[in-house]
Amino acid sequence: MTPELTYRLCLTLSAVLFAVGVAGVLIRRNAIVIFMCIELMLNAANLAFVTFSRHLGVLNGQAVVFFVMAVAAAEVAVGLAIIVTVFRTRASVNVDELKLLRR
Amino acid sequence: MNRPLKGLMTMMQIIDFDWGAFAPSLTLLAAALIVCALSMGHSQASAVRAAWASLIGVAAAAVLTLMSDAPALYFSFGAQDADGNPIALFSVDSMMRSFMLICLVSTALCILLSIGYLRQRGALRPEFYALTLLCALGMTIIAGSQDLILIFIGIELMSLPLYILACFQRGSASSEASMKYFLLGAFSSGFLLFGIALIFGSTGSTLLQDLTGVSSPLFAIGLALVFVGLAFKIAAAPFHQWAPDVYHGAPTPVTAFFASAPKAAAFAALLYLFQAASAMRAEWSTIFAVLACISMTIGNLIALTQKNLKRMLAYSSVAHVGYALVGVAAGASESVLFYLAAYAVMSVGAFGVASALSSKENEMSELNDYAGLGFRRPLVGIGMTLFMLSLTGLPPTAGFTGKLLLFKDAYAAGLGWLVIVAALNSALSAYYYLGVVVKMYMTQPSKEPAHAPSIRHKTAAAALIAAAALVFIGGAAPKAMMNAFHISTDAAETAVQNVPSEAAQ
Repeated sequence: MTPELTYRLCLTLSAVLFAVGVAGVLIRRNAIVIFMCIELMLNAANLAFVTFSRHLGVLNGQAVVFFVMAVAAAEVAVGLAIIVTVFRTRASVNVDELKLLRR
Repeated sequence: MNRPLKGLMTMMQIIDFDWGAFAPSLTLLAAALIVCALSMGHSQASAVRAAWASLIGVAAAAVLTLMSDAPALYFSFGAQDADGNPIALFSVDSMMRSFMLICLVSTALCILLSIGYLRQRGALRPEFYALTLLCALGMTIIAGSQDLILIFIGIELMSLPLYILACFQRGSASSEASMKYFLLGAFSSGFLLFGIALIFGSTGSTLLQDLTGVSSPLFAIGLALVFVGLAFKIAAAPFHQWAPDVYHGAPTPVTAFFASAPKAAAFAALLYLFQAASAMRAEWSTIFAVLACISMTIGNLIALTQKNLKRMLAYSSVAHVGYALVGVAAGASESVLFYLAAYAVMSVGAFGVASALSSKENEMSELNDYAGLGFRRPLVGIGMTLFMLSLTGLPPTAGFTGKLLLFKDAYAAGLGWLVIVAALNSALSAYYYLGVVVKMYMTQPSKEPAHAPSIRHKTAAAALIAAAALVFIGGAAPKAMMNAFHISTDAAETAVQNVPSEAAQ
């Protein structure tokens, strides 16, 4: 496989992952699954960073990925804690049932 | 040069830079760590100590911001361009200082508001203040960053504590608000990051200075994704659906915080990026004008129908983001800064009145709770009236000056139609803002409560007085307010001076 082809394939994969993530957030109703789709979006961005970095021959993009991974880990810690809090008060993590504040 | 020596050189370069640029952020970090150490106690007393420590930290950061008066201090972390000159990743300029001061002032006001509110509900814990300080740290990083990745990290550092603060008062509504905020906030971060990745792909750099003059399809898509992410963060329509629920469900002092400081910080990122991406400014200006139009109209129309004060103010904040976007579309950064400062203090004031009056039994979030309050609590009535006048944009308040500056700059930039839409919207908004005043002075409560709600905490009263004073100064002496927030007055001054002559015509 030529480097050019790899570059194109990786970029396409990254775009597809991002689209799957966005679609998942919009379609799925379970908070944990939505959260996983968001992680998919972040990882799509990571893949794009690494691909561009290799293609352009600049290392910045690869360094960025470490920052993003750290941020994503922090987000998991906070996000799962919040989902657990919601589950404790109403024994469900379905976002359609979050209607307390809407009228 | 051999490797260890080179490493040492890089280390020296990192240490050698002007720490003055980073001093306010480091102060906030130190204060957050001290507050974390204080939180070992887990008693009310240690929480109150933590609150005061965090206030001192914020004040020290503000003083350091004011002291760093050189126009371009920078902090480059050892990054160099091809000629070996350091590249600024983090810099201090006048806009950065204004954004920092707006964020720090509203943070301080919200800390003051929170003490009494949380204590009454038994939720006064030191962690609250550590999180608030970390959030402020994130804002200072956004305000000074000259690099997209630094902006991303700043936004995340600001947002993560906000998600936790939203569910600080354990309960169904609070945790529901927090989960909605978290899911949509993380979703928008995904857009932001993917957009940054595409921008990196099209320019080979994440520095803002390298975006000047770039125009390629990939860059345009990346920029669009970043702007979508930021539009979520500032809650501009049509990306505003989370705001009413989150503002409604979160504890009221936290809502006051959401509406003021993080919004200003996200606007900082938006403005920096808009200025950096110079090649497509005309197209983006049109898009922001349309976004401003939608935000103002949707925000005001829905706010008209609300019976809950917090929800009404949430929709009104969508409308106010629209007004500020008018300035962004016109490329008038000074007016946007003044408007953000004015909106920060008046929204903290309006939410602050609800927060200060509320008790464990009565959250004071329904409009009907304010019936007849104007006569029984005259000072509170005057304060609330001042904030409502300012939100409407009537003199003598900061909101009036802010709108005047924005409309003038937008008109000068050839966006006359947008000024007309904005003026019509202001007239529309008067109906529901003044509705609160009418409620306070011209209606009677359905059943007379045993004792009218009152402000029980001195700290909350101090915060409200400070906010009211700033709102009044912003209207009566706009120049003083601009000096206080370090907003450069060249463009703004002429606009203010022209007012009397135009009124005379």
